[in-house]
Amino acid sequence: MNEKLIECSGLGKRYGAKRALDCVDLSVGRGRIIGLLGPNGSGKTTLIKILCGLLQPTSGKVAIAGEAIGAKSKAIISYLPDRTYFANWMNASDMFDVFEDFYADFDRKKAESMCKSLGIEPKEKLKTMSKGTKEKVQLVLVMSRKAQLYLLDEPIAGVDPAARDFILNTILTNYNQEGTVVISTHLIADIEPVLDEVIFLKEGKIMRHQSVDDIRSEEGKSVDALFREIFRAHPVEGGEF
Amino acid sequence: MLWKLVKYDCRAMMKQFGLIWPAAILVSLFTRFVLPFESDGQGGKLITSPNTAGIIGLVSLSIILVAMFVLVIVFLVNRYNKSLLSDEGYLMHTLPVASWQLIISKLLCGLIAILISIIVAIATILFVTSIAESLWTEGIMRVAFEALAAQPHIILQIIVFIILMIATTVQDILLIYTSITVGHLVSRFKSIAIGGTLIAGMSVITRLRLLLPWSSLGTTNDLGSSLTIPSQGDDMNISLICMALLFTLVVSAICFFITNYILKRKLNLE
Repeated sequence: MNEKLIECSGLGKRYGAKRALDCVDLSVGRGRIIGLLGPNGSGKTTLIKILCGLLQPTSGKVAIAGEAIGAKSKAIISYLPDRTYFANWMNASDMFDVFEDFYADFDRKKAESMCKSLGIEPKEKLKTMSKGTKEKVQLVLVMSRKAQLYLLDEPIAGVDPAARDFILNTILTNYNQEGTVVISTHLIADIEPVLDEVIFLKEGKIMRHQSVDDIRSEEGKSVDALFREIFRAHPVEGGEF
Repeated sequence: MLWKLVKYDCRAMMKQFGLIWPAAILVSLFTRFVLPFESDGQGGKLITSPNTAGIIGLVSLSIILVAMFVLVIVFLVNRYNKSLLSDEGYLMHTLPVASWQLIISKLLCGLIAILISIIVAIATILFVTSIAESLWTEGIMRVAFEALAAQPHIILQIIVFIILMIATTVQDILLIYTSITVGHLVSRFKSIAIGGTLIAGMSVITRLRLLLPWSSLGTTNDLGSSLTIPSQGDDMNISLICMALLFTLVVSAICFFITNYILKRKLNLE
């Protein structure tokens, strides 16, 4: 078993003149909860999508557990996107059927139990569900897998503080402990208590990649405070504010 | 994994066609029983004076059949575009399957939709007209079988021609998929890119067909003319049809290769 789950070497992604990712070198081990932190437009979602195979890099290499991005790497990744990705005609039970068919590590009983505890009716159609409920169903599907790598793109964005705690608790109590969880967010304060490592992304570049404990001991401040310091927004000259 | 994808796509297909196929059959049965048929004295049946219910039934059936075939085209385009290049693509492209399996799954499901639609259309026509009854009561089927048995070479030509029709359908579907996928490469004016690719593709294929004499087959006229050619030309007819089939398969393979390459190497789901 490859000890490094994610290995990126010189990874880059360009959209015309704009560099969404710029020479990203990254190595992520197993059994970690990692925060992928950065302001809007820093490249968090781009990096996650490249790891999932939804985007192709412009340059560089990437490997998941030693494998190039493909069917084998996708089998061990459990991905939670920042949008609903199921057809509206489906219900939760249909989605369980899909995941059961395609993922050997999917635990249907666990998924049904999680739905029950969330008050979600498996036969209810997606199109009748609220946005928050749809997101919860997707989270249930993702966390019901015993994956080696969980990639969660902004799982707590757009939800109220109480729901954020609930989602984080769901993630922490259901993920495969032998795997790694990568959570992208810009809501640092909520997520800092659960993180082992953080990766700071700014304008497509990795600014820092360290354990939370090391940051606190070296900087003498929380990750949230350091984030605010690194990513402090400056007013643009000529603007109103 | 491919058959699991086909199962998923077929479920989506049934959501689209689950009403219209049964509706076509039911309306045709309704029309059959309200239309006043009388014997013409020569073993056939005539509609004497169509009543209002019959006219409504016929018009409704015509509308349903037209809608059904329009829905087939809409399904082919929408299923591919939505499932692979829109939000649902976040699911499909993260499943542990190869990109070629995603394409083949959509293709197979599209062929199934076309085949069932053709069967439904034929069935509705047989139900509504008096042909169904005559076929079995007047011995027409027996006569047809005897004629085919007397000239077995025609059976082979018909079979090869049917295979050519299926291959041509596959080619057309793959050309549509290629056009949509090429459109995905551009961030602006996608519709123009899709339409342009489709028109360009069809133009190139048509021109090549005209240039290459053995590829000019593929229409019902060719089948009809081949049936009237003397028996010593039958081997030539089958050869010509096979060459046309080869051309169609090569075009299909090119379209498939381009589509697969873009999905595998150039996918940019935003």
